[in-house]
Amino acid sequence: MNRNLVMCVISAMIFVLVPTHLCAETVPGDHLALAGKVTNPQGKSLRDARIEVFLNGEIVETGDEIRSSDEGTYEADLTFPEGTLAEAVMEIRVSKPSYLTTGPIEIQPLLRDEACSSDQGEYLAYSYVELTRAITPAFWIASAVLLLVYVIIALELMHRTLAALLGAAFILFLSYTAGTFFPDYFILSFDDAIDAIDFNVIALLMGMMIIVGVLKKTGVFQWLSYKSYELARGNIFVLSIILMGVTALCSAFLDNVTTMLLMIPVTIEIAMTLKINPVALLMPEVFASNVGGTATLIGDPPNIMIGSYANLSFMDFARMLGPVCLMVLVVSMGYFFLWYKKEYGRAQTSPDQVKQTLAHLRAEYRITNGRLLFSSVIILALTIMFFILHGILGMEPCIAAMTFAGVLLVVSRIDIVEMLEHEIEWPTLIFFMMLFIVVAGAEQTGLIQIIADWVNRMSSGSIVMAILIILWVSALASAIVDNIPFTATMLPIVAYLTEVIPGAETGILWWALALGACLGGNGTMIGASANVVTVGMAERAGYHISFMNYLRIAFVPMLISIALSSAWLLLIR
Amino acid sequence: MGYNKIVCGVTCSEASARAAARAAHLAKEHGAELIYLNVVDSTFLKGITVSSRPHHAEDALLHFGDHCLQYALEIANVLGVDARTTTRRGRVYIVIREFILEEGADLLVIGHEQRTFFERFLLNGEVEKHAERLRQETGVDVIVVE
Repeated sequence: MNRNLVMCVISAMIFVLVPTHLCAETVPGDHLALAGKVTNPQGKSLRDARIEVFLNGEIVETGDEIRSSDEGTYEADLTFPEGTLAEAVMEIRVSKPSYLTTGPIEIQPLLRDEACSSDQGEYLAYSYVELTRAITPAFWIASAVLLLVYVIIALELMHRTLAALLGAAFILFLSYTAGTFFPDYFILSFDDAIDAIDFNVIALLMGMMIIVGVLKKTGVFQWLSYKSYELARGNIFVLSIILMGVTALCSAFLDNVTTMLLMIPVTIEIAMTLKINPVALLMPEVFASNVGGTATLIGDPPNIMIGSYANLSFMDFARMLGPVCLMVLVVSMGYFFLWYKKEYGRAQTSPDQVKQTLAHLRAEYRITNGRLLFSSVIILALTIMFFILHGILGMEPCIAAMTFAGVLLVVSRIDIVEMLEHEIEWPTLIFFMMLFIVVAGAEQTGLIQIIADWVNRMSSGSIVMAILIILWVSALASAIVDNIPFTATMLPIVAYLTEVIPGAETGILWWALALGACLGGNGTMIGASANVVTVGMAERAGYHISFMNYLRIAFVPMLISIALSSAWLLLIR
Repeated sequence: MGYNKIVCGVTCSEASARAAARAAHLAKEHGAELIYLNVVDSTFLKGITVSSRPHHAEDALLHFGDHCLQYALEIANVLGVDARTTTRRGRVYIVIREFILEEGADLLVIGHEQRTFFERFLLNGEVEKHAERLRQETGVDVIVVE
């Protein structure tokens, strides 16, 4: 009923809005202004659908192909012999790869007003077309490619960037070879592939890599660790808590891997002087790093992806995730305190030893460039300030990050070529770009919609169930597979659920995804890049952390953090 | 059987310290030359998403390495043995194998922490397997100290 109403309104609007030059047309005959819109069953506009017009069952040669625009709309001006349209049966057929081609859809051309000359009939027609998904070979191939990329990444069969690159290239190559001749093999157009790449994410990551790259040249991270030890005054329990706090804070604004990479050496050194196993300080630290990264828009790549896709601001993240992350951090401090109580008790912290260690750390971990640190901190603060102003200015975070990264390079006088060569993680950026294309392939061919519908059915339309499913599934999945491809896959699913589940319009499901994907990574050694770095560095220093040992230490606090997140989300929904 | 040149691979672990001590004892006993070797291996960073370039990790590992080598030297000095130290970069297994061949060493001593039954089962005694391979490929004796 609503659709008919909409059609009437649109038809009326066309009558009013179509320019009168149609009437001034000198070519004799009937003129038809055909317009409409193509959507999927969820009402999402479909672009590049092909519209064929039939007159009395015969296809009409339209010259250029009629195709739907980015907004799913299509329009065409057609001319027929005079008097044709009054009695004719007009039909259209709409087709698009990965969708069932419609049968002939009858359209009723409406005669326009009598202002036109008597030898011309001016007609208008509008048709809203909903295409139904088809399970084509393209669906199976795109799904298999996505699955294969996941497996290759999880089993580290090849570099993840190469895996994603091959997946994306194969999808496009197939679309423009087999897909050209057999539409059932067409997965993704080049335009759709380019559109799928979220350049806000890429530019934001790049900008932050430059800022972090300059900042770490100042020695500030190591200095903070030394200061933590000084502040703890030899009390290992206090030291552990301070180190967790400092790590969480750094990770909230800088990437977790860099934070851990810079904190680990000094932490191990402190542990060695205390004669305790460094793992007892490293495990709480890396846990805190992942928690801190969850709290902000720029703390963890999944958050950057979610923020950009759902247009959520820095302040949205801080407001919705900050409190729960703080809560998780405090609880995990208590948990690790109890877990390592015995190990901490073995620490040798005589006043002389503390004094000696402090003197050593002070000499070794100094601020190496105070001036650079000052300008870096000011510029980082300005960058964050503009992140916060995103809601007011409408400026994408990547613009602030790139602008201030450029300013920092000028101020620091660091060679840009050196920075681009050494600090920008190009394989990571390319991994993101290719991954977006692989996921777009699965989205175009229908896999993502099937998963979204399944989640919707599982939740029975209940927002509570949907929150819990997204949160817990994301957490458990992120503990096993890389949370970046997982988040990329989940973005369109959560977007759909946000539209269809009553109560989800507040965006609560985005927070469930962010908390699940980021905190879930704490559960296993392979759940987050920071974990792998920590284990690897500890191993190289001679302190082995096995997969099972990591699981034994971290899985329970991860579950606690997700339980706390569940409570938080249900409270604020 | 006498040894002329002993190579001891060291990290900062307790097992490694025991290995350093064992190597020093053997060097003293056989009047052999003793070399402590630390390998900076950052290959675990390959494929890490959003990571700094490996050279940052290598700098940190070099820093550890200096500590570990210093510690090993102190152990040797306590036992009255002169030793020299060296640091190499690359995959641990390959670097150790090449170093042994380059130096013409006849004994390799490495430390390895004790593993539980489950870990041995799960990891299939990886260190022992590498030790055996080194024996076969270089012809030197290999002692794994737990």
